[in-house]
Amino acid sequence: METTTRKLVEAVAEIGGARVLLSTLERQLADLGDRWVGDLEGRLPSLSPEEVEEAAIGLAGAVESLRSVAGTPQANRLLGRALSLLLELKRRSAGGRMLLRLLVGGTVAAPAEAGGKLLLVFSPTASSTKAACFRGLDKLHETELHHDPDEPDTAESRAAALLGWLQELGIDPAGLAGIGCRGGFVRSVPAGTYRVTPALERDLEQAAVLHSSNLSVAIASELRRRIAAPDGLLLTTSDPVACDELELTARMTGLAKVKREGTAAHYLNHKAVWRLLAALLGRLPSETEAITAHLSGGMSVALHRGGRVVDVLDAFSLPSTTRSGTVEMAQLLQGFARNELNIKELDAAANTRGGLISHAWTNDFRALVHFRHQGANERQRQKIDLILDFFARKTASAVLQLTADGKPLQVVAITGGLVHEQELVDRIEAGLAGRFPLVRVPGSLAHEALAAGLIRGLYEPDSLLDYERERDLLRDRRHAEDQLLDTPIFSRQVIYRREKAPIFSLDELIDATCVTVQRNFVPTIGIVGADNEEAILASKMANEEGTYRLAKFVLLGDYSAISQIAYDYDLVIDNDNYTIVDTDDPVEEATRLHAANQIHVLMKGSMKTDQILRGVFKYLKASGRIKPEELISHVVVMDIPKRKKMVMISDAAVNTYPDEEKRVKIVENALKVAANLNIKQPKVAIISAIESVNKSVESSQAAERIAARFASRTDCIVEGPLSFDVAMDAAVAHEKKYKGQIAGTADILIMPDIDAGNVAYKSLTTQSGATAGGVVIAGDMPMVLTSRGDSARSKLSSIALAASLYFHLRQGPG
Amino acid sequence: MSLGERPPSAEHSLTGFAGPSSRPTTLAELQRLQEASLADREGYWRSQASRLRWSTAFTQISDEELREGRVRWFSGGQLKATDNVFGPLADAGRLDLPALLVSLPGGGLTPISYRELQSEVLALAAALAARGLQPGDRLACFLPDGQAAIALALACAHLGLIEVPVNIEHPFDVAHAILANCDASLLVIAGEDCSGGVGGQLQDAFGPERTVVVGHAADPRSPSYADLLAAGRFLPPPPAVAVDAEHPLCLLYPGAGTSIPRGAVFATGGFLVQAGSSYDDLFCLAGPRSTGDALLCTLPLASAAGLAYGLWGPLLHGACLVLSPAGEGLAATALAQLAEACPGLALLCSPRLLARLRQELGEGHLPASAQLGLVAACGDVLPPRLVAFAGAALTGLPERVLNLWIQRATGVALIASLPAGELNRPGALGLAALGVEPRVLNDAGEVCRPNESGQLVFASSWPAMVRGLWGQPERYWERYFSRIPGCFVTNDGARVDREGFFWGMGRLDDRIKVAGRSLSTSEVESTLAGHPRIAEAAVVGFSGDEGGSLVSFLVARELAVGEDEPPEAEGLRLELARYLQMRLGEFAVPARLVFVRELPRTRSGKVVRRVLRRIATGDVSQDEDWSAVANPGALQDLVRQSGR
Repeated sequence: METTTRKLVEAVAEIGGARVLLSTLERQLADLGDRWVGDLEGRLPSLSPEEVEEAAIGLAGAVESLRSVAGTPQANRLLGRALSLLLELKRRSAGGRMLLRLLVGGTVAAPAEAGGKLLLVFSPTASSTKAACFRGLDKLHETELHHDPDEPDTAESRAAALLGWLQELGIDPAGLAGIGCRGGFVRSVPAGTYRVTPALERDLEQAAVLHSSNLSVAIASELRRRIAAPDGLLLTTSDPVACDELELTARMTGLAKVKREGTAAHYLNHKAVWRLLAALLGRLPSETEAITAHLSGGMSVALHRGGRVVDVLDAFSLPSTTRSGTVEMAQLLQGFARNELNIKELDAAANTRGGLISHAWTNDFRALVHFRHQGANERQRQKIDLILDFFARKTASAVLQLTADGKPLQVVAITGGLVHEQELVDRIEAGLAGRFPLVRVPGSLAHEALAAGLIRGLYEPDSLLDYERERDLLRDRRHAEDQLLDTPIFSRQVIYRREKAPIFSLDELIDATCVTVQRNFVPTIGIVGADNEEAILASKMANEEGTYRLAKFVLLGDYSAISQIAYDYDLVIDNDNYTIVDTDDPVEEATRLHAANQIHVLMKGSMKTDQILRGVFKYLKASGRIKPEELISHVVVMDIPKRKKMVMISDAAVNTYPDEEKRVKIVENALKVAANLNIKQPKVAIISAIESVNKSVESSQAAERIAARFASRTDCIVEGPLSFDVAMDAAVAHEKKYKGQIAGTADILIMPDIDAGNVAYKSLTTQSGATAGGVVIAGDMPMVLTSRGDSARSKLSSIALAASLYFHLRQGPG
Repeated sequence: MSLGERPPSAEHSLTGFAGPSSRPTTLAELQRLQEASLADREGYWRSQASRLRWSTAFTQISDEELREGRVRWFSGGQLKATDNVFGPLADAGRLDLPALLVSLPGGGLTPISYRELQSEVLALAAALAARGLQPGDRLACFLPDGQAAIALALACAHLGLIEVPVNIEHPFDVAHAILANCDASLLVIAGEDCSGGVGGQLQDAFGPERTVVVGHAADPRSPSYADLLAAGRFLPPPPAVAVDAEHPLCLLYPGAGTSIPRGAVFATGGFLVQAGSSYDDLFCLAGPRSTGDALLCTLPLASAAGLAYGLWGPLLHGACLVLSPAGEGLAATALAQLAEACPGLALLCSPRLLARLRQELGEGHLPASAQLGLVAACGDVLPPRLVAFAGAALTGLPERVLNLWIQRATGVALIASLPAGELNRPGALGLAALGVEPRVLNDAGEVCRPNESGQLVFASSWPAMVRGLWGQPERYWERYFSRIPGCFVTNDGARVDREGFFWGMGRLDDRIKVAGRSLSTSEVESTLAGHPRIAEAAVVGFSGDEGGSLVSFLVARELAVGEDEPPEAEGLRLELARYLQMRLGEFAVPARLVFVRELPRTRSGKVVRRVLRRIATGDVSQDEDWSAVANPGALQDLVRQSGR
């Protein structure tokens, strides 16, 4: 034992000794290297072309050796600095041709240089078109053509501007061999250079996301049309914004139904920088494992593995000059709840009003830094420092986040216009703490990348990808992946709630119904006139692969018509969950089966509501299932996103202009539904236009009389008249000094007539994102009505409500 | 091995199909038989074929490659059709059995014996031969079903002529196109105008000299049927012609139509073998209420069911065909009269007739003495309520109401309920016949799980199956075999339950009247899909104020479809219209050809036709719940388009 301890101590001491030695050596290397690189950097502006070539060769050798010792912070820093400088030297060598030479690759570079073809590349931004003109591998001209904000911005106008520019330069557009443009939000495809096809053009025209680059292909086509070019003119687009090469883990989010895509990053620049890094490191691109961070108007960070961007933090995840990036969920929800935030604001924050602009009211980092040095007061300076720290931290953490797949990484590069901002970049470098060699690639290589793709396409047509094929292949692969991601593992968890706990949402209602059904039995719902798409779809959902199993269904009506719909919508007629009952008279047959206890709840199918109600009423009356004092009425339960509890509205569907007597009965039916939702002392608001009795408003007088009829009741609180806002909004009730107990807390709204009821119901569902579940109460029998406009969730809720109500009305709440 | 469980009869047996027998009554028994018949499919069909008399024994049972649309049965074999009808009876000395029971115009019934029928057939055959008709020539019959039509069918078979029964309800242009398509040598029409003057028009168009008139011939140039018979009786009876098993027995033309009619060709050997065995399996019941000796078929002889069960099946069994001029218009009282005259009478009809009888009888039923031995329905869905009605009011026994699943191209019923409690489920199509292999496949071509609905196909051929489309061999493959390689496609939706019952889930195509012609959308669909630039096609039909119209939704290759149509779409549209016009006719060109990026499908891959139909009629809105559709994006594109 003792010897082991001793050996351990000795080993540690040995390592310690070696470390001391190593770090001394590293420091020496760093000092030496820094001096050499620093010297070179200092002399850079005055180097002759020959000296540049010479320095590049020397530096490349140094990089080669440094690579072998990279790993420690000092060596990493040095390697990063050397690579940055090497890149700068390459930019300056061979008359500026070197970058493009590296990007197109060895086999194409020579013929392209010799061929000297004339090329135009461009990329549209919101307010301008950036363009460059190449001959062979030489960039002849580069420009940014701003368009007149007062003129309409169209593909035609931008094409005309480009042609005008060429004309000014004395370049005959007819001599162009190819046009390369930056692709926008096409359908998702892998990165690469695509030949412009009609399909690509169409997909861009109806892009899912608005982006200035969406116009590019239309401009290119317009150019081709105007030039009246021969068929030889090649049109390409490279690495569009909508690339997607994500690996499966990267597609997942914390919410199963939200799946990520790789789109919305500056792939053009990411890919170009990655290719350059590979060339500088003397590796194949596909073997270069790197992270590239593009810092400009939109920020994105991409992880390159095996030649693909397998993970990316896109322009919507990271804060940038105008985008907020991801914001904490809890605060967002709170903001929504408190009315401090809405969808429109969130949309603006994500696109145009977030990020730097929200902190500093500028979208210009340079201006910010400039102001910090000149003009800012102390607090402003502090804040600017904080902002710079924040953006640097976000960028560095995005880089580190992408390394969490645990695989080796050779190099990290930061690129884009913001790399010129020394104060920001130094902070990022500090954040990364020498964990990786960090290469700075200032500016964008978009034009070179576009030209490189185009040149490869001209000299190696096989390198061009077929847009439709790649799009469809990716779609199919994503589809297969989605199936894996959607594979059920355990059946949907019913959130078990305390018995008799009040039900506050439709989700809770569905769960509670599942529990009730499990405790009792699966009730059978008879669809009256099941030759009806809506009813079939609703019934399918209520039982989707046993996920919910809220009810079984008997489909009443014409056998072959029902069979045909079942076929069309994949409903499995198994004579257990779904059974067809062939009949000429679905209402008659439904009531017969109800009397025989073979069906428990009715649901409207193709039969007209009044037809069913007539038949049902006759049957209920004859069998004594509805008492003379009872009324058939409709209750809709609304789940409103901004409200903690649900609200019931009656009657929005069955009773058109009920008199006072009927409305009292409507209240009684609504109270049954409230009891089913375990609401202890439901608050019933008899709605009118105003909350005080007024002779000229008939409904206010009626409301007062109805409320009076319930004055002695202790099981509920009935008040009237109440206006809708007083009943639903506590703040309004307070402001209007409403004295009653229902100050914005109503559980039930009793409407004066079907018009008011329907308007309230439809306003809430269509304008506030509310979901509704409705039920008709006919004695002890609930009935489901659904309509084509109902959402899937709403149909399911209605079925759940009716099923649970069945047990409640028959056996008392279970 | 047949359902009849008869000891296998010797080759060239004299007894043929005659004689009822015991049959399976439980599912387990039937499933055993089904399995055995498929385990040794050739053996099964050999034993069925041996119930016929063959002049030359066949050397091969079946020779098929469905991928190529090649089907042959009983190669090398030769047979004489009429010998198989009259031979066994003559040998048994039973030619005096009634072959037909004919209703007399003034009321009452008169039997025609097999001997009388044979003599009429021989006289006819002699007269036809004397007119120079050769084996393989087509003889078209535009006649109401009755004695003459039956005798003509037999006479044709006797001489190896190909009979072409043309439905009497066809309008002139359809009937005329059929005559032209089959290149008939002789036409037989009815003298009494029972076709709204179409017979006369046909006579004029076809040539009075080549037209025989049953009854009074208005045109002196046309011989009458009676003249023909009279002349034939003076001639020596021609010997029956032994034809190859694959020699066409008859051509059946659909009423639906394309301007180029398609005559389904049936082979003599295969059709007779399976019509005989199927009739035995479905209609011949032993016991106290035995059936199979008399059959009333109200379906036209110009249909597969009519040919198999209203003609050849019963005649091969020495049974009596009860003829009623009312056809599908038969009234309950007339039915009762016939049933009383023929105990154990079986009725083969369409569900429509049953629905009408149900209306007529209400809660009533046929008198006990006039109850039918069996009711079989085919041609349309037989809903459970009609089964219940027929069981209570017509047969008195619910299990004696059968559904037969048959299509023109199948020749005989391949799926049917059987007259035993356990083997008959109201509403079901029934159980698979022995020796055939129905499958329900999803759109990916995989076999569906129990109760999952998909399309009904057959994985192997059967003897009575259609052998070709007259004069259009390439369309045969395209129509039946191109959609799912290796399978015969029926265009029916179905499911199979755990016990093996097939349930109909509707047609996969719409039948719609366009410009006065009944047209099936699947035909237009398969034609469009045959165009090299079309990847997928779905055609839906709907009836509007100006009659029916078709709308086609197409996924075209190399055509990028977006918000607006690409300019080249118009050219393609014209090209497709021309293509359809040439292959199917002007009226088959859809009113609209809509190019789409993809067709909306359910999760199992079915094209959601119901929604397409609504889109075609504009009955959709943007904010519907499309959760049932696997690619709602495709649908939303369409809804947007239709909204403009």
